[in-house]
Amino acid sequence: MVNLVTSDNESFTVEKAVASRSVLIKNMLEDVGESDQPIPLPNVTASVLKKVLEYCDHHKNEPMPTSEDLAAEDTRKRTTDIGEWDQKFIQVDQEMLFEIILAANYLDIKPLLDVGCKTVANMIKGKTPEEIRKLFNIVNDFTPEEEAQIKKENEWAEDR
Amino acid sequence: MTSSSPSRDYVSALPEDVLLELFSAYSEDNASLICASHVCRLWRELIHGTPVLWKMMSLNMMASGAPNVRAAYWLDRAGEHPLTITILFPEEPEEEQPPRRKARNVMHRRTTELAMLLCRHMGRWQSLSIENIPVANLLGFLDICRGETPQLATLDIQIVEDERSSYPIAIPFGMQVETKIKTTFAHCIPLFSSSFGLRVRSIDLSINVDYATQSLLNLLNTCPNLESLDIYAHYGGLMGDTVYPVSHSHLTVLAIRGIKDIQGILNSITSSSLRKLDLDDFCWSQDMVDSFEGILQRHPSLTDVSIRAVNHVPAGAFPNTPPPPSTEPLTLANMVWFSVQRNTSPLHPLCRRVILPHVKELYLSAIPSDIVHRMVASSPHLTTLSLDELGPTSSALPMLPIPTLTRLQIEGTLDFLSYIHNIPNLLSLELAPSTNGANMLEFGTSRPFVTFLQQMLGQSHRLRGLSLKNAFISDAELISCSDSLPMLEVLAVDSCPSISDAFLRALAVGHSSNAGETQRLPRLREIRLFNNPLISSGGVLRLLTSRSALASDTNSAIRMRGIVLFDRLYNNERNNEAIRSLGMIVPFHEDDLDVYRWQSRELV
Repeated sequence: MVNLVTSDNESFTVEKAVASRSVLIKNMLEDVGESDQPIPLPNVTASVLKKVLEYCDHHKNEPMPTSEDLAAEDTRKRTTDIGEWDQKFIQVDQEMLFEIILAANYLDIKPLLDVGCKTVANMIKGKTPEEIRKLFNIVNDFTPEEEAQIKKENEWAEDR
Repeated sequence: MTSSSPSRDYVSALPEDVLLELFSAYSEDNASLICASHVCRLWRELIHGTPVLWKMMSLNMMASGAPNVRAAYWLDRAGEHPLTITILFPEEPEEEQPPRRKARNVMHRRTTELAMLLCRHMGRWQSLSIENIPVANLLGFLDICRGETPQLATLDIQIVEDERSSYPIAIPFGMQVETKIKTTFAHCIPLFSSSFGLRVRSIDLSINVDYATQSLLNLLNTCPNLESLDIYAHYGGLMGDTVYPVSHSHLTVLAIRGIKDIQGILNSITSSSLRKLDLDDFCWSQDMVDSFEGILQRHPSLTDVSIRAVNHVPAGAFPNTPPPPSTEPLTLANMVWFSVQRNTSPLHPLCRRVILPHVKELYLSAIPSDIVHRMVASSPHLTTLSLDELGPTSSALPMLPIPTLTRLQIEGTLDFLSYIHNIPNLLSLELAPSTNGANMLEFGTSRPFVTFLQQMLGQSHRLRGLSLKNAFISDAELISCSDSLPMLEVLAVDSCPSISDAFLRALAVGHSSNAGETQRLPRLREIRLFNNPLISSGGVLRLLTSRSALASDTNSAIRMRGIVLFDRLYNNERNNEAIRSLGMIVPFHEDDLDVYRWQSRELV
């Protein structure tokens, strides 16, 4: 078993197979060897780690993506398809969604990062720039000159 | 997920590499990529500064802006990345001139402008796909785009179909490097340069052979390293007495559909790698029977064979005095998947000699029962057996144990079931008796349908999927059968005239009044009901409601899903809406039924 300690000082004891879905933790365990020392995760809160561990537990028996898989993914067609269980798992509020993405990036859990990014990509798909700004509370900071250039490109955004 | 605007801008807190990961989902979706680049300056700078996001361009020739301007925008940003280019031509207007002439002029000008831009980047083409292009535009495009394409891996050209349908088109691309090229052509036959043809490993052709025999021959001769050849002659056609000097010794997949005389091609092929052979819509003749046996004998490497001739045999196709059939056994040692369907009689003598020691899946139609019995008996690893309209049994056959069988599918006469026993691993059973008068008479005789069904179920306690079509079986009989199926997960009932809402009531949770009595089909998770005249939308709704209530109360039962199409008399759109809200599909049009049947052809 592995002991993980979050930024808000909460402790989680999990199977090694579950924790090792994170490449960061897996490498730490390999570097340290057998040890009872808790692993601090200063960038992850308890509520987010709980959710991340739920994902890791569900996928613990799947093969880890190899470097060849990741390289092949770059040349393959990228899609926004998400598995059924993952879709249900990621049905969370926006704050939690982005916290999960950040945690997956920090913990180096590429499949979870993919699920998070594809979810955001699907949220954006089909929306106008103004609708996207409203959805994510993003400020339009383009200059009038940039706006003029963007206007010229608008037909390409409509050509679906 | 909450849809209201958040109080904070979480997305801007993402590091740039994560944002790029997010945008990479749009590498094929040009419109979404452009849209994302219009959101804010950070996103725009990131997207514009990442060449890999611009390597795929989809150019609609009908778009309001000129496609070459759009292509130039992508090319400016794609850096040195190999390019994936898709060019989509619109349907031509149906009205006669002048709108059609005007549209043609616009397309001609746009094609020329685009070709002049893209030809400067041919060295970076990795994939070129041109859809629905008029032949005149294609000739103009290829007249400008001539030269070396060292990175090209896939080439897909589909010209507009017309009554002629198979234009020979010279592809003026050269290839001096060791690249494998996959090609697809519709309504035209390419002619490659020798350097390009040597690299072509896969050809997928959709053509009209009648106008193109010589072009097809030229094509095959310029591609000696083919690994996969798929020819679909959608209007049929004949090859005639064509001679094929190339043996295609690297071929692994050969599929020919629609050409009526394919013995010439079959006789020319000798490849130690041939694995898959799919022959469809050809005419039987003595030559074809001999060619088919020849290709089987020359290719012990074959693992998958599917053969489906047309329904008729042309006059004179077989000699009046046929040669005496060989009795030499033909062992196909590596065959895993073997399918002989539609007009199989010319192959019966061959099937009688075939031994398939490693076959796992057998699909046979209209073959005498004794031949089927022999083939199955020589197949100790069989997992799937699909039989359709078997011929009558002339004499009693021994019982046939198939302990490895997991899927059994029988259409037409069910007599062959009498010989099957020892099938403890069966997971999926699909029975569709004939709908002719004989089947009607079967009901109530000494061997009614239910007897066959009970015999099968008595040996198959692990069954997870059951499909019944055109079956005469009563509610009480099917309820009784259900009691011996504790593992059943998927149930399909299609056009069964005696099954009514009473059967569904028996499946409803809480139906039994006896305390402690176990629920019927406790693992049932999917139900497919098509055109059963006595099943109503109200009956289905009551079943789903009871099962859904239990699923949410206890988490023990499984929420059901599936497809249901009612007889018009019992259809109720209000109930249908309620059924849809519980997760089931109810098609809006009866015309969609075949699509749904096809989509749900696999039980488990």
